[in-house]
Amino acid sequence: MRTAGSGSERRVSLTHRQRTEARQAAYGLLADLFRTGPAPEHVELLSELGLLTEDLPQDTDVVASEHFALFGLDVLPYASWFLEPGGMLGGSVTEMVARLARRFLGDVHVRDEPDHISSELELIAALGGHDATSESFADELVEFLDGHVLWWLPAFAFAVGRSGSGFYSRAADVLVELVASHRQALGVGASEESVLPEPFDILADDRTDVRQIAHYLATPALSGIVLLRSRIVAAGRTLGLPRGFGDRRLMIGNLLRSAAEYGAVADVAALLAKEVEAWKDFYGSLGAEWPDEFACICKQWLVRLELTASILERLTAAVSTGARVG
Amino acid sequence: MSAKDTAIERFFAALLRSPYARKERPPKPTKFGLPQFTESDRVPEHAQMTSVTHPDGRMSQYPPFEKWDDWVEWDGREWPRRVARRYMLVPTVCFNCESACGLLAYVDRETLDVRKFEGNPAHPGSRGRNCAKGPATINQIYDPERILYPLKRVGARGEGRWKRITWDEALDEISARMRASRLQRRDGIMYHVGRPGEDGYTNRCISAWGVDGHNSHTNICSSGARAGYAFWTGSDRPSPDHASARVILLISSHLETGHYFNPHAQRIMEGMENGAKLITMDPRLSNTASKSDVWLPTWPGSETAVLLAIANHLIQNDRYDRAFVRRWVNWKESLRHFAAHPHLAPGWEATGETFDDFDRLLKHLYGEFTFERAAAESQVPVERIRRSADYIADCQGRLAAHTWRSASIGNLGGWQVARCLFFLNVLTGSVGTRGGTAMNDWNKFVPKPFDQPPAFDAWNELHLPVEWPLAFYEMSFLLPHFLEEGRGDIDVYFTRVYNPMWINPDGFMWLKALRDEQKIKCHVALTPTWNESAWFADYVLPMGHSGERHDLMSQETHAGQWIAFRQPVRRVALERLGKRVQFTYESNPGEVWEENEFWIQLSARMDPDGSLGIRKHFESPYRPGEIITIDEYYRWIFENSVPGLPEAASGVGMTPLEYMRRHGAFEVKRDNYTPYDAPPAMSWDAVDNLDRLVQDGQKVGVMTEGSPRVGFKTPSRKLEFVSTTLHDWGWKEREYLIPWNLKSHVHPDNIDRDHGEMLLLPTFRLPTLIHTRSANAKWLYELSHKNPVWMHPEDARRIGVATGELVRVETEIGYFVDKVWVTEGIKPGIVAMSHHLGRWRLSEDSGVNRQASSLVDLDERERGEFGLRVLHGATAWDSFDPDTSRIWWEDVGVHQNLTHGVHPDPISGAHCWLQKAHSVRKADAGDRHGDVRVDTRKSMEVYRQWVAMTRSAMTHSPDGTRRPYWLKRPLKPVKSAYRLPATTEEQ
Repeated sequence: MRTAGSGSERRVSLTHRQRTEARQAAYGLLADLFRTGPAPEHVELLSELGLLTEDLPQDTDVVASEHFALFGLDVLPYASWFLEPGGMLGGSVTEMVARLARRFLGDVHVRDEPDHISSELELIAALGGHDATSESFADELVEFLDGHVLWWLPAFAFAVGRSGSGFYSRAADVLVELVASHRQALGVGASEESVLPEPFDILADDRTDVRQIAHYLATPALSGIVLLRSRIVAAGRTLGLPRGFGDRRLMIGNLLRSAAEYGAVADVAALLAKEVEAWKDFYGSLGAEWPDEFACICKQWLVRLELTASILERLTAAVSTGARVG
Repeated sequence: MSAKDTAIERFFAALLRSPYARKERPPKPTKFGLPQFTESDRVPEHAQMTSVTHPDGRMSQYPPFEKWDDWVEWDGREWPRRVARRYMLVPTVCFNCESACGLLAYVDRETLDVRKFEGNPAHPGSRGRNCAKGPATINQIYDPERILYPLKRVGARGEGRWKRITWDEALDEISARMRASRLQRRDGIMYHVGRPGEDGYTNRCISAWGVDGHNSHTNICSSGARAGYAFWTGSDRPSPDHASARVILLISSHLETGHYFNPHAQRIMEGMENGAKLITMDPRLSNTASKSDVWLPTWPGSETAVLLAIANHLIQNDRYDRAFVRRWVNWKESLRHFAAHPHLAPGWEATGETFDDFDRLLKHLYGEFTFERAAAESQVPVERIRRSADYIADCQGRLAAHTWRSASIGNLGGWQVARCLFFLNVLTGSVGTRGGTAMNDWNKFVPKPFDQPPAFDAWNELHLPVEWPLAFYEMSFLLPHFLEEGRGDIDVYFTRVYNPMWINPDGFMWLKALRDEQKIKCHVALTPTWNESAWFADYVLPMGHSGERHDLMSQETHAGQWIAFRQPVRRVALERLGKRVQFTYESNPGEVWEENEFWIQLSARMDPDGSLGIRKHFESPYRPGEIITIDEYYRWIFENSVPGLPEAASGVGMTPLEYMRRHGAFEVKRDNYTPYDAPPAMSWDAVDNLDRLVQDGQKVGVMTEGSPRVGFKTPSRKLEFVSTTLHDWGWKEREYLIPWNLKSHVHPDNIDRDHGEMLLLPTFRLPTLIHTRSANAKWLYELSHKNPVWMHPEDARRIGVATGELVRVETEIGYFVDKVWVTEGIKPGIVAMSHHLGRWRLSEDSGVNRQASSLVDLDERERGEFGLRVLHGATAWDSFDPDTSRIWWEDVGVHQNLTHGVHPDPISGAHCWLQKAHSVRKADAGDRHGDVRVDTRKSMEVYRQWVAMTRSAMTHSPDGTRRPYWLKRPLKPVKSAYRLPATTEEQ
């Protein structure tokens, strides 16, 4: 390892082998952090290394409770949650990843939650861990990244960022950079084939009701946004609308019904439109920053976001003209 | 470099200094998946195919040998496209049963994937043919659920958590344990083998370790038959010459449809084409029974009554071969024995020592065995028995007869079934003749390796305890019972392609033992695929299937000798293409290895400095001081131990090793008849009072009617009618001394059918499966996957069940619940189930293949009660193989063996498989298919009842030894190890 420069700008020059090892270590570290949250030894290590320290509480109980609240309730760290057309865990996305893990690692190493972000990082680490003496899995890794991971990883990271968690937000940013730079190092143009469900306009169907609108908005692969529970709660509080309890679909549905009841549909739609704008900005920046890796993917997500924005506009318009919603 | 790149690099640099950089690496991935084949530009050329015309008129064609190295053919699966594929054809040997049939692997010359396995026309035993199990090897090789890497247990035994380790780690850790054990004792390492699939390789290694470490599955398989044949001949297996027989007599179809199916079945067909009559005794209408001239559906245990009635017919009507009996049977010794013990033949008076006196004795002894008595005992029409006797009387010395894992392993005293059957060979003079029955060691050729370690000085009480001095061989199925009694413990326990918890009776006793880390301190499972026992191992080490390993095999398929060479076909192909391979796992899928190389490396690491005297047995005969390679091991054998091979190889410009790698088999001798009638190869300096030729105290032959001959391997060097060995070791009654009928534990007197008791016949085989070895062959499981209870319509009516309904079968120690199949193909009073089936796993996603096993809930209660409940049966699943998503069957059978109490025969040591079903009735309302419940306290009660029948060497040994020295053991210790342990008084 050679260094040049000084301070934060100091440049480090790593050999290919060192970079491979470091990348594997990074995946391992981030997998641990996202799976269970930082244990005391992680806190000590991160402090020592000066990594992710800005928002790292010294009390691991704080981070643990944050981990539970964030990944247990708000942002479910599973590919299927982001990519399935029903927005549910399991299903064909999970099976696809499990199949890959079984294919490359064998049954023994297939975790109970194969599409958990940490399991996927471990699979990336395994496929990317070859050296001169072992078989290369570069093609398989590119396929896994382009055909799956890159499609949901940014959404996951941005959702974590919007949750307000400093530590996990930083970790998620590092993760995106890590995977993007890894993909960049692998070369070869990214595939443009979308893995997202085809966009569809729910308002094109006269029978669409509040429940279906709520489902649409709560499903990342359809609406393009991850509407966090904390955001729904905040919207209800800001507008003085009851949103009830339960899962996100139920809460969004309740919020929309309350809005209809109290004549605040346009207000809710405006808040949601802001949310959509934030996501659009995010994908715009990401595509610009990593054009080879993410531009095509961001384009697909932006199509969904445009449609969602349009749905919200028409919803507002429909209410203003007296049309019944729900 | 951009700012973000710099940040990532800094992140990396920091991590490289952290413990994370030294953390365990993620598992190494594999590209194992569906085989890939390349399209060749070449067009298949016209070639003169090798045609093999079989005796039944059918013809098979094979690519000509000279094209095997580079064979191009159209790919039928691509039709209507014309796609050519280019293969290297590499011979190997099937590993799915013990027949050792030849296979020819079609290896893609570019991808090295195997396209198919076909027959090897150069193989003298199988002659280009295979049963379904041979081609299904391709399923096993590309099984998506096979074990690809060495695994080490994480967490508690049986928890199902594993981590991948390297072969180096496995070798270091296991060899260290072996070394530690060997330094302390010589009975702490146990190698427990299912079917070996090789001849002597591993035994040589165990000998080199200097321990009494060989344990087998023989006592649940063939020990009854072995004992019966050994007391007659000194050899322990028959080798019938079916193809030239006039009469073929089979005790059940077990062997001919299940075990040596392919080589024997084709020769039985050949014999029948030539006019041979086929007689089959089997309570079940098997495939073979249905093709027989005479089917004798005997009540299990009554076979001896039928055989002795036929013998009596030959004797009373002077239709036996007097000249042969006079020449080769120990009739003088027998006469003297009866004269000295007149109570053995009440009413008979010794009048002299002529053969006529012996003839008179025979007539007196066997006169009571009439056809009518046989018909009554066997519940078979008398005319069928009479007809069988007439056929046999007319066999002209060409009676090919066979029994294996059937009546001889089913019944208490089953060893007498083999003895009575061979009595007919003796009486008809059909011993080793053309069309007769030879002994296996005459036709099986086992070449000597470069080095044979000396016999060990040890006796492992867990193998052959004093209660069974005559057992064939180790009392392996009682291992958990011995451990439960505190008879010993095991430092390192290898199970090798063996699933003791599933295949043995009383499996929950095995479960207890396998989990007990005080009794089995380290369990290493060498296996190609998951099994129920491996789940409870400490190490699971993947071993290759037939095209992934080296072994040398021979079998007694007919009156000739041959050897066949099993090879890792990808490795052979790689080496032919000029690539060097050090160890076979480099060329196999994942890191699947082979035992041959594993044992060499393990043994060498066990004794790195040679101080234990082990290492020298693994040093190259060509490179002194260096560890032998697998090529060198076989090169030496082929150059030095196989008569005719060096000359044959030289004739075609090859080395002997090259010849075997190219051909896969070599015929050593053909038309091998009556070798016992040859003059002895060694000289002798005396003839003793039993006419034996003696040289330096060793018996080298026998004088028969004035001619010196090799004779047999018995103490008398003759065929032993009276077994003085049995007499000397405490079995002095007539029913043990000579061929006789013993009362089985399932004799009709012991089955109260009026009160719902029945006989459970749990041993019949299906020709398409191989016990627990076939679970990962999808084609085979699609053909046969369930084992319903066969039941006669009379019994079904009495119980009130129809096909498909559930019955509960209660045994001595528990019960199981299975579906019933109502059929006239089984005798009334008997229920039958095939073995092989009823596999299970404890985890949804790992363990025994999902196509072949049920997911079960293992229920363990206090005081040794266990149960299984099926959560669901076989399922489809997604994998790289689209066929796994097409699994359409759910019922994969019921694991009946768990409910079988152990029945060790007091003489042969065989587990007498037939079970008394205390009740067979319609299932209870809460019963579910696959339910099993067992009380292991009852297991131990049953065990103790059978132990009580033994006659211990401690009280019956005639000479203070544990076992007659002349009786075979897979590995014999030094003679001094045979001394019985000193009693307290002696001390």
